[in-house]
Amino acid sequence: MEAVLGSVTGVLAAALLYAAFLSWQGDADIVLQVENAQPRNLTVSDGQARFELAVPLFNRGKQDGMVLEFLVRPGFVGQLKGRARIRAGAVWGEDDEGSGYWRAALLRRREALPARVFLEVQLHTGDPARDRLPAALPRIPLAIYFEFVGRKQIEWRLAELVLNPSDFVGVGAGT
Amino acid sequence: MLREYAGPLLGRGSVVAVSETALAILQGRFVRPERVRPGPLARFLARFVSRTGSLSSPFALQLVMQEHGRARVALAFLVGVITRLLLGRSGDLYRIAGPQASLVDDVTGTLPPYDKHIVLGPKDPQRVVEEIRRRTGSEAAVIDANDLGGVSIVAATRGVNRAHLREVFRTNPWGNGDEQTPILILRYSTSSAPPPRLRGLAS
Repeated sequence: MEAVLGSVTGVLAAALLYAAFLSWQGDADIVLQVENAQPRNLTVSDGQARFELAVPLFNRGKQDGMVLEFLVRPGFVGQLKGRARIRAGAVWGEDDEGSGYWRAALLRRREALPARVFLEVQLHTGDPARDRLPAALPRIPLAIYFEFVGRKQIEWRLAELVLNPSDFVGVGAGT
Repeated sequence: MLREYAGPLLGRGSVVAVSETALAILQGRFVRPERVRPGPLARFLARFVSRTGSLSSPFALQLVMQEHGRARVALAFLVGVITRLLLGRSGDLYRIAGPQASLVDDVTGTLPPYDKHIVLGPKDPQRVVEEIRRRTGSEAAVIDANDLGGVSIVAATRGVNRAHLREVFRTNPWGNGDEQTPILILRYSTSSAPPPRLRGLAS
């Protein structure tokens, strides 16, 4: 009986010790800080507005994490539906600006990386609002889904961001 | 491929150095972590590897286990822990677990478009260098080098002066950034070995 009790106690103690170790060690915990999004640039040309935001990806966990994918798509665009071509994406390196390739990013613990989220709105020829872009545009919701891997597992997270064209007044190169 | 890109530089007196990662990619030895299902043992053991090592990823560790066997890798961990604690010696894990343990690159360890893949080490590197020698007449080596001065000669033909090669690659002429140099040809000013100095490097 004593041997059984000793074995059970030993197993339980080992399990508790391992659980405590896992808790102490932790994992990567990467969040997109949409509340800290900053308008970065706006260019308007020939009926097309390109908005660019810097949104920090922050690793608040205890372990390094790697952001493998970062997907952006516009939410429902309301009155713009049928009047515009809309394209959204994100990059973080200058080199990838043209291709829109999301290069896998290593985020050390407590490290932040400014993801550059962009949205392009092209109004169709003849649309009366073309001449007063971006003032004619409504707020546009963006759904962002990103994938990261830490020590433990692969995780996908959803973040929602609302792009407000009026926040871009006085930002960037303009028309 | 070597003939196409380095044809005029090949032949007796030159050494073809091939990046181990480039060779592994040519052999198709890369996989996205989403396609790997780590078992309980990989998940457990990966917890005990320093976070800077590729084996701290249960996905990379699982692939190494598939190459060398779970028992061998588990034994390597056990011996590694014991020798580190009792003798203060490090590296036994990588020595015992098998060559893939030190050659595997976790995600972000390789340049795009393979930055989202785990890249294993090459398969049968010795056979590859012998084949290069047979077909081109050049001596050949497969090398794993980094910007921190780490050089590992994964495989080499008999005519390669390993000490000299290690010295050349200590400064990592390939580069670890966007240089994307898969092959490096060493040509010596005389055909005598060991060579007194390098005449030129070409990629």
